Amino acid sequence: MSERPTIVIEVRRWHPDAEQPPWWQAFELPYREDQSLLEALQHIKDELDGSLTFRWSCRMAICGSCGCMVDGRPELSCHLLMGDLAPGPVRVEPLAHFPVIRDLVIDQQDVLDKLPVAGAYLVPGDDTSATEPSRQTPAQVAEYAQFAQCINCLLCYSACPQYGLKPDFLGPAALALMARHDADSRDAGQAERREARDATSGVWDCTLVGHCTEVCPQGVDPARAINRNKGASARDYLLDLLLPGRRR
Amino acid sequence: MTAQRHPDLRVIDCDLVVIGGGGAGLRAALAATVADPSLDIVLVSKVVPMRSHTVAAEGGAAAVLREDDSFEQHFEDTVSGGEWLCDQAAVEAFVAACPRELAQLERWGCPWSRRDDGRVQTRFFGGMRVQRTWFAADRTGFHMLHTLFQTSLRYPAIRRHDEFFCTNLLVDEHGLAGVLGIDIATGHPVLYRARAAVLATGGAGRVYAHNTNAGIVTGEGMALAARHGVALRDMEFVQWHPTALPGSGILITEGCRGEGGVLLNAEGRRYLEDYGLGPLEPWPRPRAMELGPRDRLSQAFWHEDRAGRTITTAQGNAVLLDLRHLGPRRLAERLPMISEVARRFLGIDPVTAPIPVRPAVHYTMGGVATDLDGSTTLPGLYAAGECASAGIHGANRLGSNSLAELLVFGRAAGEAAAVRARSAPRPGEALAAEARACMAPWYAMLEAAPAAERPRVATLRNAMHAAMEDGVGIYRDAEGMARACEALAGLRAAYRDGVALDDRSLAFNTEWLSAIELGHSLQLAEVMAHAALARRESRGAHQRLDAWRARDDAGFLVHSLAWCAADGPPRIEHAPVKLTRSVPRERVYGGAGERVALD
Amino acid sequence: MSRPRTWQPDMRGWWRRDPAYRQYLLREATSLAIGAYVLVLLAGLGCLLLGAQAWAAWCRWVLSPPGLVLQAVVFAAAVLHAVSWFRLMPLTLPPLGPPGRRVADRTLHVGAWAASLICSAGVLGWLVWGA
Ligand SMILES: Cc1cc2nc3c(=O)[nH]c(=O)nc-3n(C[C@H](O)[C@H](O)[C@H](O)COP(=O)(O)OP(=O)(O)OC[C@H]3O[C@@H](n4cnc5c(N)ncnc54)[C@H](O)[C@@H]3O)c2cc1C
Ligand code: SF4
Ligand code: FES
Repeated sequence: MSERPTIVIEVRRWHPDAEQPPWWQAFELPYREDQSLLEALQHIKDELDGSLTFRWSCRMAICGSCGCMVDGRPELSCHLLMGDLAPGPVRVEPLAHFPVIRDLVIDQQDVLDKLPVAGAYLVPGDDTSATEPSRQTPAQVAEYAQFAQCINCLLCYSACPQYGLKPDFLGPAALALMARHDADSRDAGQAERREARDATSGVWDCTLVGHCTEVCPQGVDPARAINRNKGASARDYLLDLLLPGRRR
Repeated sequence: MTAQRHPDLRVIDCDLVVIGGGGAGLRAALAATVADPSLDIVLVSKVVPMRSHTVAAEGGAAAVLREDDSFEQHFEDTVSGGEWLCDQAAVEAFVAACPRELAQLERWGCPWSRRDDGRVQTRFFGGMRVQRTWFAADRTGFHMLHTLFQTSLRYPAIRRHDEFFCTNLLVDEHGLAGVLGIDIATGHPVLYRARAAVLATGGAGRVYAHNTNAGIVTGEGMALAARHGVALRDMEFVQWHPTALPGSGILITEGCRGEGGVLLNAEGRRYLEDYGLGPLEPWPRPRAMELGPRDRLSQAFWHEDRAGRTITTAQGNAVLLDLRHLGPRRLAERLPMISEVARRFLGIDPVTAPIPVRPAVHYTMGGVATDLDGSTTLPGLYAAGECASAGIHGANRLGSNSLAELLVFGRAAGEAAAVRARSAPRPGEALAAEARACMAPWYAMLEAAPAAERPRVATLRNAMHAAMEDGVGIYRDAEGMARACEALAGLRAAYRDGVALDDRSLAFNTEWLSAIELGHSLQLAEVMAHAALARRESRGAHQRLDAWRARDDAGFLVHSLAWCAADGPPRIEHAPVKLTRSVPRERVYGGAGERVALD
Repeated sequence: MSRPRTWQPDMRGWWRRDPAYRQYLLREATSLAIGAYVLVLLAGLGCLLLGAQAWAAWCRWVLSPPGLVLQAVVFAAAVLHAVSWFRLMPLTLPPLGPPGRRVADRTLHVGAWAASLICSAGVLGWLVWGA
């Protein structure tokens, strides 16, 4: 125990009762190579400072709770191993671009509100009272499978300067989920999603920085989802212009 | 940072509150709004619904689909898997409803894995004799939960209050009257006045140290109901999953074995053969070897470990799960998440090396006793999902029955609660005063002066973990269970004397919330230990090493019911199990089991 | 529910946060260089219309040190743009090919480079031998 190496973790903290901007606090603690950064934060909370505040739940990179900036990059803290961060110091901050509720806890309400705007749900096409599952071939599943892996961890929003600069932008994950449902052979909601897609705050606020795709822990590739839809948006615009009355 | 003052209570009226945004809670809310679109439904959850623990389920959900399957067989597998402690009427209703519910999820967009012709694909799961488990790669719970969550976005009548921590249920002379809790972000108390509530708060696996469960699975929902005289049923039955990572407890799904993965001991032997689960060939044989039920597999590990035939890892002893023969393509297609987990957390590529695994606590078979429609003995309170005991799991749950259960009983509870929400008289104004009184002790925790000698939350939690792992493990004896009961009573007393909190502010105070959780967890742990001690036989997941090593149908073909007094230990009673058509007999797997099944 | 009190971070100096942002800004900035070159070409066209003298002056400027520097910068910007843009191009296309057998990103990427190299070689060949 005693010879376990130690590491310094610097955490950017903030509390609404403190009449001051965020501040940095450093903690020195023992670690193991195969321990996750989340476990290190839990160690701080359990043993050193119970007031350090962060979200977590699954500790296996699937619930999307534990996002934070680690050395300036959006990451899931449960998905980083201390061995890879050593010798440190490790700098941990709340996810960029979001209002901070406290310490590493950000206000995610804005993105949650955008999901229904983006039509991030399947609109069943045929008979909804059917009790049999409909058919979908593996190739049809593959059309949307990648975009369906989104865990709503919001790392992509922290990677996207456009979202930081223009908070109205629907943003990577919401637009990826839009594309996910548009591409599903069972879906009949494309027309419903058009307005949100074609708006400036839809696909057109994206300037293809492309960093969202790089930070996504699930390989969703939101940049692809959005830019593919730019093509579709432009096509629909032109067709509407050339064929008035096309759009019912 | 200290709390200035007890903040004002907000009172909000609605028709129905669903507590919990996991699979069961979302399904209940959807069922209620579809049944009665005019209902004002509030869905509260201590995490945003898609962060709920259902998201972590990997393997799949059971429902009869194939031609070679039948309700009868699903029923038989479930009842024998639960060692005849299942309520058979509940199982009958359950197996009949599963296909409809999984198909409904398909219609809502769940990306089930498919066969080439576009039909839904199924895989083998432990204790199931037919390929009956629907799956979405190895992220089934994730896809199910997101499908339900996304579908809920289409129904604005479902108002969500995310990150609301429920602390109390309020009751008046007509039954349930309100749901009280803390808005986590601000730390302010909120009362939802309603005539019906569906409890869907999940299991309690976190009372153990080594578990596969997410951090939120602390079980307070069950304890909230118990405080109002609702019985907790069969709490001694805790499932150990045989294949979790040593240390973290991260789950390696049974789907691995469903796809053909094998378990090897330190000598490279498929040791399950030595525990009545063989023979080895022909292979894969359903309900045999690696596809035996979880209780048997976890118990076999215990014996191997005792005999010194496990390997040593930095994080404890383990056996090896070998997937190498499946090949890179099948692993990538069917088990992508497991492959990633092994690479990430162990630095092991399952294509080239076996994964060290060991049992970890996984599932709470017991829970709030309910009827087929989710109703409890408290009028207006319904329960569904892992926090409930609808009676289908008996002494051992079969893998993949739980995800199906969330849908079947979540829906039933939602529909029944929707009817109740309309029929009972509105709660009165006096409720708010009672709510304030109920909140006072929680806020008092923040005001108490920090005392150096008080234990930290983590200290008490670790002591609870130690007591449970020591006394109420895979194998139990009277002495160990009594030791656990005593230790837990002591811990509850220490807890009542107060825990030390570094954080005494209101905004997003997770230390405070985990202290509240801990009080409930301690109570549930105590219930588990007492219920276990009172079951003087061995059945399913409850195995004793003392005088009661055998199953005793004459004395103990009964449910245990725990009634909780406020501070003291629970009172344990036993009640008969409802049998319909399956008569208890020997529970056999492997080749011997097949012979019995053919009779 | 009442919204909690929050700390709103600002975007000052956002491009300093990650090298990826600087690369992005550099990619976008290449358009300024290309724009400048368009102006130079337009000026050349104007000079051609104004007469032989003006045209010769323009030609002299193009071959003068400042002109050469500008063209070197523009060339570098164009190459940079091609590199970064071809990397992103597959993201912007609709799925090509039948479902289940979609054209891979790599193929598109290599294809784009091949097409642009062939075109450049064609133009160069025409300039050297054709004209
Ligand atoms: C790793 C893992 C893999 C699994 N794989 C499978 C599988 O393949 N097949 C299968 O059938 N089963 C599987 N299971 C079991 C199954 O996933 C669970 O039983 C099931 O998901 C429980 O769902 P639930 O809706 O009851 O609860 P949960 O999904 O746990 O949700 C509980 C909800 O209640 C809320 N809540 C709890 N307490 C409070 C409170 N005090 N105040 C407010 N809200 C509260 C939480 O926020 C959450 O929204 C697995 C379990 C684990 C641990
Ligand atoms: S797209 Fe990727 S980074 Fe963005 S929320 Fe989804 S999983 Fe997270
Ligand atoms: S804790 Fe769930 S994603 Fe990290």
